Amino acid sequence: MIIGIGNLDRGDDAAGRLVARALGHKLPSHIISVCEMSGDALALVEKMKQAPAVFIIDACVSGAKAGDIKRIDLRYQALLSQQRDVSSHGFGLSAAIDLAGILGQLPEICIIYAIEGANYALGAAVSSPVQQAIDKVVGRIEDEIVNFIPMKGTEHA
Amino acid sequence: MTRKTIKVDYLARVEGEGGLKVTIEEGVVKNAQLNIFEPPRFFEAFMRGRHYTETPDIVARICGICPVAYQMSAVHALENIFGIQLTGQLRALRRLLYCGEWIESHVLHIYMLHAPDFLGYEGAIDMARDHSELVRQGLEMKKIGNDILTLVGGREIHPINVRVGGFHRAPRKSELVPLIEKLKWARETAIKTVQWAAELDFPDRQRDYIFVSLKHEAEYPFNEGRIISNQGLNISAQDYDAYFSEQHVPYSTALQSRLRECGSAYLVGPLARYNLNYDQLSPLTKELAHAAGVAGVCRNPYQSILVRALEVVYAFDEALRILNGYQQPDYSFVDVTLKAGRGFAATEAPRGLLYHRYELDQSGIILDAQIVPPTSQNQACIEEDLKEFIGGFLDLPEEQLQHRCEQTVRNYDPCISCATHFLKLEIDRV
Repeated sequence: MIIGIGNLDRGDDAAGRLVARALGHKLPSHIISVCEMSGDALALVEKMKQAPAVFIIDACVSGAKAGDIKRIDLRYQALLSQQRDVSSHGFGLSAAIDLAGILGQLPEICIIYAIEGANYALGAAVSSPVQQAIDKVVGRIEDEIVNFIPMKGTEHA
Repeated sequence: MTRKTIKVDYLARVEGEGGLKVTIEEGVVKNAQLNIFEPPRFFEAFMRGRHYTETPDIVARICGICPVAYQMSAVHALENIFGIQLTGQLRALRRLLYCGEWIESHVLHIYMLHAPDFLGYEGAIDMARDHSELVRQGLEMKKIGNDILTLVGGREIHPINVRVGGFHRAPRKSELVPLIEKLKWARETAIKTVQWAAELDFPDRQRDYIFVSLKHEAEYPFNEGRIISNQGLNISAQDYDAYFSEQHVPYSTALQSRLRECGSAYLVGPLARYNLNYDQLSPLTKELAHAAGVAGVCRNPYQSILVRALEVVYAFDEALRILNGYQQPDYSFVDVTLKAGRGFAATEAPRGLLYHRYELDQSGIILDAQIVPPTSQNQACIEEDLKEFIGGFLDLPEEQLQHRCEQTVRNYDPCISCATHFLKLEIDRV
């Protein structure tokens, strides 16, 4: 299952959804289901439990340069977040991952691609470095699926 | 003189961003302020100049938790201009859609935001480590609320199927029938939720609130009814502005509402609805309320979790009633005859009364809009609760006192994002 998270109307926040959308056009729908989500963590927990393996793509703000790609395989590394469980609006991806794990609903394989965004303004276009990163992530996930997820751990692309 | 400030910079487990400051002088709570600092969102302003047909999709974006409420108040206000009153299955579908929203919103608050206060956890994730089954059943119930939104509203967040005059598409009966078995399971789980909530340790606090809600002659209110209070108010939505005023306070980006005549704060939401409409609840809900010891009257805001649980049972009950009688209508909307005018409506969002007013020109362009969300209306009442109740908790250690302040706010399930046009806690002891 491919899950792209974000808001299409907030600049680089669209990155996850655009990756999912592109993969939806490339991958066989009878084998890989692709969905776009707005970031409702509880809906994400529900969605993830339906699949044995899931790729989640989301935009992030870590201080890295725009377009930087982080790959986190939850079999080998935890997802860290400084702000958890602040509100349901702010109940984000890391909280969803934690909750799914506690409830035994986390897929056996859960790989997260995080794309560093630069501009999250309402109505803004996706920035050029993030657009390039989107294309890269699409290719990488495609390769991972084709090669049956050979990569391990966390790495920067 | 001893002065103490309890300050919460960022209130947790509420919708949106805001803080709280409580000032205590000589052991007495002197002041309490909800500091809503989430930026204004200007929805009313950017409605101006848009065509009325865009309204349901625009207002749905005000909130990811209660978009249906915004859509319902909007379409009813616009239909008020056009002289449309939906009947039959279209009316029933709107009520079903509202059931879905109450379920997903109330269940989210009960299990994920409010329960940790009573069970002694920082948040839902910590609570889930010890109460995984409780959280799991909450998530299952919420999902069924979302399923209703998806089937009737077109998608679970920011539904797209609502239009002035009805729906873009009325679902086939065969699409809705699979929900029935899910709803039956969920109603049984909701009953257990009431029984669980009734056993929680509630602070023994109550006030003589002015409750305000809709009242309908034949049903527990969602979309229609007169605006009433327990102090004799009985008006139509058209008269809302004559009886309620919105005021700006310097520490909040959300306007605060008060009764115009006496300047009093008032309470909207589950507690108000419940106290003013108990007679319209289903027999099952009343039976559970009786067993829980809150039959007919509940003035303890800390028991709002119990009242929400009762409303969840009602919503499942009502959704089942509607589904069992549903037949796909021959048409999904009634035709609109465009005309200029002003329209008014109030519906019952999960958090309480939601008032909309629109003014259109003859081509259907919005000239003016006013939206008064429930959290704006409850702000002054929340501050009064803090002033009234927190004095009784001053012997608590600092951390517990701060937690009690936050819990007092969370009783209202405030939706700050909706109200900004808000939570940090600051307790100031002098």
